[in-house]
Amino acid sequence: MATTSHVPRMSRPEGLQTIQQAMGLPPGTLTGSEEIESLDEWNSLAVVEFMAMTDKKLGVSLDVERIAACVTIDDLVSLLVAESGAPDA
Amino acid sequence: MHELPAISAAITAIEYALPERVLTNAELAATHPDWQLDKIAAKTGIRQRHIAAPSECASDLAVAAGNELFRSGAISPAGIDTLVVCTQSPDYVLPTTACIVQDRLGIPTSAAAFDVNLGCSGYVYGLGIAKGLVESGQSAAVLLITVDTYSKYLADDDRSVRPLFGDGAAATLVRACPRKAAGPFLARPVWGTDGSGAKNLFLKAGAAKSAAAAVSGCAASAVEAPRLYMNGPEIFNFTLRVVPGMVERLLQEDGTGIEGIDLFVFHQANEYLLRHLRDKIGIPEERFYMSLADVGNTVSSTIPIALKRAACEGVLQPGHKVLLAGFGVGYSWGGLIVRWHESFS
Repeated sequence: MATTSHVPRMSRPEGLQTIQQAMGLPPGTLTGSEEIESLDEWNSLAVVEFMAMTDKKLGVSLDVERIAACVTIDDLVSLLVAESGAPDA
Repeated sequence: MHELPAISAAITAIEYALPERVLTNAELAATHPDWQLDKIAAKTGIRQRHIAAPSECASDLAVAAGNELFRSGAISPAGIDTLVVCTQSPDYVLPTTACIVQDRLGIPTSAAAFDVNLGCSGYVYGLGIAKGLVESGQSAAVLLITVDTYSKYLADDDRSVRPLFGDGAAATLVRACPRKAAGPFLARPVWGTDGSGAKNLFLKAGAAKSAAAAVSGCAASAVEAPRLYMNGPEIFNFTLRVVPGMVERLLQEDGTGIEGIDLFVFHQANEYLLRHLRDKIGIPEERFYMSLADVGNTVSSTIPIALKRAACEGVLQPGHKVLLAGFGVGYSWGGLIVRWHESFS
């Protein structure tokens, strides 16, 4: 029987960096505790860019409803790390 | 053994018409300073779009594009035996826009005329219909007009759609031509439909459902302005899900690979999406045509406008194979490989 190996592909800092890039923010702008709703930069273009980056980097198509369910940037990072198969640490 | 028809439908002319009024990003930025138009333009590649005047409707733009085609000398109105108008912004719910356009263009009353209600996939569907009519002997010259005035559906303050869409029309002539040994000029299309995505690009008001709701007292207002809703991220996911597979099927049916195609012309939705699709599929940059900076997303007219421009620039030449891919509202998608005809004007 075939088994699936979970090769770490994205760490939490890399996930945070990906989100900042998608929002057009310089590195170190976000801490992770920010509420997504409060960020003007998180608009539909940024969401599309975020999805394009994860598709390109990880070959993963993120579910839009799962993105929308994230409350904080940390939630978004967790989603990204989980989808990438990396340990959530 | 299945016998191939002696004739093949071919695209022999394209002309297009755009409304006079141009809405630039600078104008949009002046009324919406919080929109970060520079950022939007950097992603979408759209710097301006043409907007229909308040009284200017689909039939007006369709007639303008049709007259351009007749003025080019490609054919006269009398030579048209089928008129197909592809639009999602018809003048009226009824009568059919094609009937109005037939009369205004002076196309014979013996011609067939009908509308096709499709958006971004509409041009490929129109070509498929024209191919079927021509190669089954039902028609010798099909005038396919794609036209939309989505600007009438856009809320002034909707940042997700207002910078993207522009109005316009294109007229494409599909004629019966002698079939060549190299094969048909319009290959067999690949189709796709997934109505579960209907809610993601949606115009709720303006037709029977909203009228029925108003009568039964369910609607907030009896006269609800039709406003386009687009869930950009869902549309993005949909294109990633279906377009690469459709291109692969087209290439398989053609018996060739990416290297066998001279030019790829996809529905010109926005540059960001197009570049991502191009890279995902592995299409070389120089064979992937984009032309939307000055017109925006004109819905079913983006592909014929791009084809006309590519031909005028010499990027598209007789004998070239060009792969077309339309995808969007519905969800609906369609792809087709075209061999460019030597008589194209």
